[in-house]
Amino acid sequence: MMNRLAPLALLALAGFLPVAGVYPLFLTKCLTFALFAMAFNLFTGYVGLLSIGHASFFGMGAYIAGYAAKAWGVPTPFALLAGIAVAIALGAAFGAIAIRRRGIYFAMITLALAQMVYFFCSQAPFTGAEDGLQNIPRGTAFGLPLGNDLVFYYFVLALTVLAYLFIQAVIAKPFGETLQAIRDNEPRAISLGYDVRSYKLVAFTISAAIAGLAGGLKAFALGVATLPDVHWTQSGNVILMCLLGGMGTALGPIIGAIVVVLLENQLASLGVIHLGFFSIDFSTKAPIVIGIVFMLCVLLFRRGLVGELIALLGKRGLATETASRHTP
Amino acid sequence: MPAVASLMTRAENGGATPAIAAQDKRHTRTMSENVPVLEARGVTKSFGGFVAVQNLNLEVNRGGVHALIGPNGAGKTTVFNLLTRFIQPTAGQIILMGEDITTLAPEFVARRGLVRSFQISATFEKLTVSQNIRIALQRPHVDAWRFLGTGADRGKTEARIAELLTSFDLTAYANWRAGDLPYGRKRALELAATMATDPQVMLLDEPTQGLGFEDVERVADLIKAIGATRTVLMVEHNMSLVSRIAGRITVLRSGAIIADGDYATVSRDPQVVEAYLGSGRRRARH
Repeated sequence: MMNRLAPLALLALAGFLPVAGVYPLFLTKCLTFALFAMAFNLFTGYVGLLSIGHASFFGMGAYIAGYAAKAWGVPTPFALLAGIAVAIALGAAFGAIAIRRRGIYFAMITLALAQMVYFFCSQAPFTGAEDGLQNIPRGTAFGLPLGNDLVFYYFVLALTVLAYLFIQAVIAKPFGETLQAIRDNEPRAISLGYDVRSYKLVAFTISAAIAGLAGGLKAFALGVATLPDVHWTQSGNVILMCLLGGMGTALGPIIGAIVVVLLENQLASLGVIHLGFFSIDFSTKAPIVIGIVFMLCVLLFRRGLVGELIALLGKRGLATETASRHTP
Repeated sequence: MPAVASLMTRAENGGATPAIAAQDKRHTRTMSENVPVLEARGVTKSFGGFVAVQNLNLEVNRGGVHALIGPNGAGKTTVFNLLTRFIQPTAGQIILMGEDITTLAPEFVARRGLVRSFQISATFEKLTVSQNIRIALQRPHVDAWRFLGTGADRGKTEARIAELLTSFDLTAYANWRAGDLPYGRKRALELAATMATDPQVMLLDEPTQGLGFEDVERVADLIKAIGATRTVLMVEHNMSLVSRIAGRITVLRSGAIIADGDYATVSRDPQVVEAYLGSGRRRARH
C-alpha cells in the first residue's frame, strides 16, 4: 500500500515545488520522463520482457502531436490524443510481432522495429529530419493558456497523476495479477488456460499509449520533436531510469527519471572541469557519468534505489515481527 | 493432517470435502468406468532423427488414478507435453472427451478440462498462496481485453479460496509467498490451484519428486482423494505409491508402451522387469 501511495505523495509535493522556486520547465521535463518511465515499467516491470523499442512510441507521440498542433492547428488535447492513437497502433503492431518470442529475441525484435521507425522519421518530410519539428505551439486546453510555463506544468502534473492512477488501477485488477503470474511462470499460466499472448499484447499496447502521451507532452513542453526522441538511445535512457529507480515498483520509475534528468541538467551546467593535466567537458560527456552511475547501480543496488529501500523496510518489518513473536 | 484425513474419509465414502464436493457433483454423476476420457491414437513425436514417442495408443478411462511409468528417458514427460499440446505431435491424434484436440493451443486444451502440473513444482513464486489459487479461479471470468474488469464475484472467490486452502491444509500459509513455501506445501499448492480450475482430467508429472516421507504421504492422500471423483493421469517413479493409489498402470519404454494393466499384471510382465532391472538379471540366472 505504501509503495502505491508514496508516488501520489511525491506528485502532490511536486505541486508545491514551483512555489519553492524550482524552474517549472525543468519540473515539466522531469514529469514527462517520469511518465515515460512509468509506461515502460508497466510492461517490462510487470510482464518481465525487455523492450528496446519504446522510443518509437515516445518519439512518434511527440512528432504526431507536435505536427497536428503546428501544421493543422489541432487543439492541444486532441493533438495529444492523435499522438496516443498512433502510439497505440504502433504498439499493437510491434506487440503482435514481438510477443511471439521471449528473452533476447523479444528485445532484438523491438529494437529492429524501432530502428525502422527511426529510419522512417529521418526520411519523412513532416518530421523535419535532422532539424526536427520546431516551434510547436502549446495552444490552450479547457481555456487554460498552456503557453505559460507554470500553467503547462500543472497541466502535465494533472495528466501524470491521472496516468499513474490508471496504471495502478490496471495493476490492481485481476489483469495486473495475471501479468505478474505470467512473469513468474508463463507455462503454468498457460496450463491454467490463460491466453498469455493476449495479456502481453494488451499490456504492451497500454504501455505504448502512455509512452505516446509522454512524448506528446515532452514535445509541447520543449516546443520541439527531434530524431533523438525516436532513437534507440532514448529506449536505453528509459531502461536506465527504471533500473536506477527500481523496476516493478510504483515509485521507482518516477525517482529514476528525476535522478537522470537532474544529473543531465547538473552535469551540463558544470561545463569544463580541470583535474591536473586532465580536463573533461561535462556539457557533452554527461552520458559517461550516467553510464558509471548505471554500472554502480547494477553492481551495488540491483533492485534500484526504491527496490532496495523496500527490501530494507521489509527486512526491518520481519525483524520486528520476529522479535515481537519471541517477546513473552 | 486433519484436513487430508477428512478428505480421505469423505472420498472413501463416495463423498468429498465441502471444498471439492460442490464442483464434483457433475463429475460423480457422469463418471463411469471404462469410458475413455482421453486418448492418444497413433501418436508419434520425433526431434530431428530421434523418435521420442513412437505410435503411442493410450486410453485413459474416466475416473480413478492412472499411472504412466517407465525408466528415465522412456518419454513420459514428452507424452504429457503431447497430451496437453505443449508440443505438437509429428503424427497421430489426441482425443479429449470425444473431441479432437490435436491442433488446439495448450490454453484451450486447459479450458476444455485437461489441466497439468509440472515435473518441477510450478507455482507463481512471487505471488502469495491465496493469489496463486485466485489466479486459477479467476481464469473463466477474466479476459485480457477487459483489463479494467473486476473478474468473478469477490465474495464467492474468497470463500472458494478459503475452502481450497482448508482442503489442502494450506490455511496457515495463505499469505506466504509461494516461493517461500516448503517444497511439500508447494506441491500441495500446485494441486490446489489445479483443482481450482475444476478440471475433468488432471495430469500430474512426478507429483512426489523431491518430497520427504511425510509429504509423500500427504500428497499421495490428496491424489487418491481427487482420483475418487475425477480422472488423474500421473507420471511417478515411486512404485510403492503407484501400487497403492493407481488402479491402472501403463509402462513406457523408449517412447512405446510395453505393458498396460493393474499393478499385479504389469509387475509380472517380463518386459517391465527387464526395463527396470536390465537384461543382466536374466543372464545372471543362467
